[in-house]
Amino acid sequence: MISESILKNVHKYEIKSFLKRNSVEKIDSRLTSHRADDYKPYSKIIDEEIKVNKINRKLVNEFLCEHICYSKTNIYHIFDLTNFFCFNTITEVQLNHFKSNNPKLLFNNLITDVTLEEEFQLCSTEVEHENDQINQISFLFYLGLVDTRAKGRTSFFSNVIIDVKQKLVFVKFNSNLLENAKYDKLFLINRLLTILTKNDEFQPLSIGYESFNEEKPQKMIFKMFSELSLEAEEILNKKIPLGTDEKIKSFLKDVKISQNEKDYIKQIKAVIYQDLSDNFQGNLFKNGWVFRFVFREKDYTRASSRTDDYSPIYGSKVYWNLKELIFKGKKMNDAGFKWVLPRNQSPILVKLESKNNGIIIQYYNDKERNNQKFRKEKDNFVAQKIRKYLS
Amino acid sequence: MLRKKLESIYRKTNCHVEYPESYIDLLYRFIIINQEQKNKFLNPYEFSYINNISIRDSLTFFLYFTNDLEKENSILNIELFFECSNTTCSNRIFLNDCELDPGLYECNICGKEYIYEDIKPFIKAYFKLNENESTLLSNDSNSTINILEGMSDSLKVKSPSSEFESSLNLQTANEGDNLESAISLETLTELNTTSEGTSITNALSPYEKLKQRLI
Repeated sequence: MISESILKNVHKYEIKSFLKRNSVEKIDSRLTSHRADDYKPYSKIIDEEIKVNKINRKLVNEFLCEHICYSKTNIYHIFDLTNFFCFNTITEVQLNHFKSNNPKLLFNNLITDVTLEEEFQLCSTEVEHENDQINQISFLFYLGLVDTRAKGRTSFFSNVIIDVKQKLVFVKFNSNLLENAKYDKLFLINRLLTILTKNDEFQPLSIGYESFNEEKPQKMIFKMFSELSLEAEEILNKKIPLGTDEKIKSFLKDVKISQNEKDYIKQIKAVIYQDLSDNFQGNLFKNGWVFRFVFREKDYTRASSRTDDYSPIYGSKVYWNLKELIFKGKKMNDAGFKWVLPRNQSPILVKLESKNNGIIIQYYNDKERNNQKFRKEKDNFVAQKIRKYLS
Repeated sequence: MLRKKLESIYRKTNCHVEYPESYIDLLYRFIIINQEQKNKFLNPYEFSYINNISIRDSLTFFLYFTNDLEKENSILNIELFFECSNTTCSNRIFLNDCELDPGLYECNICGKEYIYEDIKPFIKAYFKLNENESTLLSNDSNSTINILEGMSDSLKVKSPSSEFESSLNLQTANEGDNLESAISLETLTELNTTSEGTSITNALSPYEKLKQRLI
């Protein structure tokens, strides 16, 4: 029997389309629940279909994990991976040997087979192995039951990823369940990291992590900000009609301003940039843009700006007014980026923040649209950027 | 004045055994720059980053100048804080200002409450220049003699031994693994203990009591 509380991690319409995809019959008449928190018919139909072999447990497991580990997780806390049992090569035979020697790590366990009893219980471990190297290890932890207004008692999970390639640790949550959880996020993160590094069953993996010196993520976020912004400025500059500089110069002469000419030209041009950015919206910036930022001027004044619709910040006066100050400080507390990946279903919309000794990624507007493949591509892209700009 | 005071503490305490003399100049310059930039805090993580010193060493070094046992010794004050975990808040919550009941803290922006046990691993430390010291510094910042006296050692004639010493220490700083950041109160109190078992600063004692009470 698949528990209702696990199923509540997925929306009903998503379960319906999963069943439809697998040619289950008479779905609508068998799923006649009208209350948002009643998942009984859904749990029943899955059990019945497993019994008649229309769908199998593995398929159900894949479907649930896709949602629990990928499409429904939108808050990641990231730390530095400093140690791991295998940064080098490992053959498939060796890896299988390791797996069978460590049954407590529950390699490839199906979530449909786990009895969820204890908080912080490990449910399953998966290894991504390619060309004799471990790309990543993914752990699924059960964190307990959470009561939500909409769906009632829901099983709350965290997916922890050891990204061996980029040497990062990702502790991932579903923000809605996290908000409703009885423990504070800080407690959960610390507990999970302690389990990974201290608990007996994890010892063979020799996982070591370190938090970041706050300077590093702040500089990293600035570098990402500056990469996209300078690129955008170059594009905008190309769009400025020929002879604009001369026109501004002659205008300044007409109004008898002879000092600080360069500065004024910049300022007037910024007005043209804003106009261009507003008119073209996203069409100009092929690789992406910044849609929000927060930085500290001195160490106790915060300045920020953001667009509500994730459109480019370059249309805002605030950006052009603060630009020099930002580039002078070279640090940023948080920033929102849109990156476009050519083959992905939707663009990456994320906020990156330096906080709580780590880096926090928050995905916007991405909960329903992404399957595992597309989200993973996004995660890898962001992880690469982080690693690149941390150094 | 300040430069001299830093040096006097450095010599009087165990600090001179543990850290090279060049660190005094680094700290002095760091204080001046932060004063000029009108920053409220002296950030040991920034100090660690720009000078390629481990966070552990950066914090311990700062602690030597934080002792208020003897009035003349205290140049810095320590401020412990953590960042509000609320996704939309991120306020810095200072333990001194935000304690409701013992071990219970409230974010003064979003009102979220925290217990000490949960925030413990996420506590960080900033330092502040004592008010007396900042007046010393800004009193007559144009006085030529003050400027000359406070001049960085690199502008003065160096003895060969001091150069050797600083190059030696640069090497050890590079050898130390990664610059780790999180500094739990336990680590901080551990750092606060000299090899002879005495405390570097007593500014931490209220927090040490808190730690003991909760264990």
